[in-house]
Amino acid sequence: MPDAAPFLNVSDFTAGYKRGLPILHGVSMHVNSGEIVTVIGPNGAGKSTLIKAIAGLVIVEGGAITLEARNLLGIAPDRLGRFGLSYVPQTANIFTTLSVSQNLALAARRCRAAPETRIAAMLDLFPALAERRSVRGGGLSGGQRQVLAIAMALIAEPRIILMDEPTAGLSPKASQDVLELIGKIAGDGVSVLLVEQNARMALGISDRAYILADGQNQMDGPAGDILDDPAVAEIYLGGRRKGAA
Amino acid sequence: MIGFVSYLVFFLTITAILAIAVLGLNLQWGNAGIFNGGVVAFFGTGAYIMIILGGPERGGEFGGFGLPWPLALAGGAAAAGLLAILVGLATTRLRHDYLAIATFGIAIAIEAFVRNATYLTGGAKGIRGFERPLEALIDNPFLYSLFFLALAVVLLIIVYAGLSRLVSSPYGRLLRAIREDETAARSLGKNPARVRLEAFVIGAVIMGLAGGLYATFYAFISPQDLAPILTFQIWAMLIVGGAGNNLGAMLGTFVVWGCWVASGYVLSSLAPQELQLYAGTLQYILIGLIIVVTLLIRPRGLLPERLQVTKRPGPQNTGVISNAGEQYQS
Amino acid sequence: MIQALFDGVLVGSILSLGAIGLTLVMHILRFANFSHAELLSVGAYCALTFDAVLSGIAPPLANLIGPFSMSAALALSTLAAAILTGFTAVLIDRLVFRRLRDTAGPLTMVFASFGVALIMRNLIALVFGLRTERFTDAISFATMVSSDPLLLIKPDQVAILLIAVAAMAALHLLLTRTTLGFALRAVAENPTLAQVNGIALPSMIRLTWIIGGGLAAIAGVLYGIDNQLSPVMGRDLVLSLFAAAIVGGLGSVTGAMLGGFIVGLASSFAILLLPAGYKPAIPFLVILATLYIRPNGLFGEAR
Repeated sequence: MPDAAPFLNVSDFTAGYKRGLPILHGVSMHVNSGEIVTVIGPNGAGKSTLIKAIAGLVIVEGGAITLEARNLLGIAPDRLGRFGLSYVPQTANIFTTLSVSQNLALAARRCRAAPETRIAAMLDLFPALAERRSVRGGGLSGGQRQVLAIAMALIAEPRIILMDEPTAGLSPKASQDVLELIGKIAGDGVSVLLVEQNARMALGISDRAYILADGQNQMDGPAGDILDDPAVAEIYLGGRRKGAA
Repeated sequence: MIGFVSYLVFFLTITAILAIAVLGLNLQWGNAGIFNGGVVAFFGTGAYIMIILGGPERGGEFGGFGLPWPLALAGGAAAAGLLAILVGLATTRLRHDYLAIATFGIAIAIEAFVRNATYLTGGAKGIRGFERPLEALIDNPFLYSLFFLALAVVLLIIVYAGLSRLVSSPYGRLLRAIREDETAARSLGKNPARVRLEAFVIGAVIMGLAGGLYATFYAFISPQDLAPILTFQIWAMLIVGGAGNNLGAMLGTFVVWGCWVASGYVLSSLAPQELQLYAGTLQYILIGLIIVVTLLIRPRGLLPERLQVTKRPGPQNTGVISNAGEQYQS
Repeated sequence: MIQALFDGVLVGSILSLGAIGLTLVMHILRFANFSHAELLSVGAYCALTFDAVLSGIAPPLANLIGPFSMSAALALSTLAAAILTGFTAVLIDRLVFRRLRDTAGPLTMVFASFGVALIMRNLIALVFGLRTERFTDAISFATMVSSDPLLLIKPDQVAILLIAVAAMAALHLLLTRTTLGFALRAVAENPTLAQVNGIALPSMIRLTWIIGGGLAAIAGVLYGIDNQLSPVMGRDLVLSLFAAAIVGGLGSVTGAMLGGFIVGLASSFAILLLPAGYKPAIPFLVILATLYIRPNGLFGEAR
């Protein structure tokens, strides 16, 4: 059940890849505890930039960000794990030259719990990874890579996971599996902030959604309302289609 | 007094010759962003080929074609260009520091070659004896040295004028565009590897010209003249003067060569006997310090490039690790 | 023939050690460090100094071990030199390269490394003199392992080979068995993702320099045992190290190991064909051939 107080709070973010050339112009949003929140919007709207800005990977020139009332602005990306935040990038999100178990062991270095127990827990949770534990990351299929990337994020026992287009490039079946997994993660009390091109599918598992365009907030609300809004469907969901969600 | 004046003429002649090489490097590094770690290879090739083409017969050894001096000089410069094509074809497409390594390597290879290919190059003793242009007509040595200074300065001015036109032409802007953002230049339909190769070869030809002039001036060339320190000196001249600025390149040559000569003079006249052996060592440290300190403190040199385009590529857009966390904080 | 093979492998093992650090720095910090070979000199001269001090304090340590011209004092000194050289590399990074990393492009760092090399090399000459030095005055005799084909091997050379292989094996274990090693490989592959996974880049950069400097120091000592120490040894080795790194493929530790042996063998076989004076040119030919035939080297990835 989502709490009332915002858990991750982003206010008035101005951020971009180069100083003086912001892509986000004052974006605000929040995620409550245990919620799945999806950010959708057209290409170039700044969705990925928003998620990277939260993860500390782009230059933030203005605004504030807090997680459980603790400031995150100015924290180096390698220290965000200690605040309970994990991030799964869109591409190149695993180390292809390391084996599955080496990827996990690496990610487990930032665990508070004993790394061995956390690695074992992940291999328990994802039998597909356990089977391929000595395979190099480069030898995994797209769906397996995504699962490994999510496992690397989960291993640190985060309170919130940021995911940048986790279903990009996956088959419909693999996409469905990944989204189900995300639902399961949230069911365990971990908040999820999702950026997705597959807006319909993503909204189907989300609690709330934000729509960004031109680096600004356009609209937000419960995922179901957004999904049912005819104007939104027309502009952002590629017209009305049946049954996709 | 005449001693001082004739030394000054000598000093200025060498400065003018080196300035030509520095201008060649400025085209490569200052404008096209190409790293040439073996300036001396192209300088030396120009010198050796010039003297082989234009020099007198040498008992049984290769060369002594006795070509007219301008042709011999042009031949030397062209040979330096050919060498640049050989190295450039392999490297201008690759990671940019590969060219630095390959050019550094060719300088070592050329030095080893001229030291050993006695039949071609006279080996360690080098090639001595060359009739300098119009030497027979001007029989006063001092007057001749003035004439040669004038000759070197005229060549320097020609190279300077040519390069100034080149860098202010659309081609020059293309070079700098590629230096700043190779991907963007490629997306505009330009072939960066090709353009970089051209700039590299033109620069090498200019260095070869300087080398030919150098060998002409001394009427002598030997592997000693191809020591790697020359590359570092020429680099120091460019960076002190200001990469990208041709006037700066010439000013830097004057300043650094002046420091080099002055430090040599001071050390030889003031340093205690037991330190004399280490005079060269101290001078090398001086050149190293000039390079490092200039890069750290005044990276754009005495006369910085007048920028019409954006600033030099910084860490964010060159693929270097940039700690985003630090940017985030600042 | 056999002699050339053995000599090539011997020199190759030393080059491999030196090239590993170079390839890591070139890959992780994205610049060709022309001052890397000077770390071999730093290491060798550090060991020479420590050895003299230790032998003075505790003369029994200076006794030669068995048939080798090495002593316990030299072994301890080498370890100390490896650590000190690693920290020297970190110090140089802090003084020069780190500042340029923040403000300028990678080629500026290449450029600065030329200057750093000149300063380091000539400071060593100033402190230790221009003459050559040896770790010991004892003359070690070669054993004739075989007379036809002729194969002469000194006990020291066997030791050099074993030490070099042991050092490489230790590094291999670090990289494949420890999470610290995984972290280093992770940074080499994808620095941003490494950060996302909690790895602090500055500490990994320090580790890179420490490993590179430490291995370079060991390589320098081994080179000094096999040949002699001279302030210009770095200058003589730098091109071979680059050749080894490029043949192996930038960033590949295995590649650098193999590349070292390839360059060592190429140089030792080349003098069967060419006059010895051409030897300095061999690494350049290896580089040029690699760039034309297989620009990313044996194990490198295109980037």
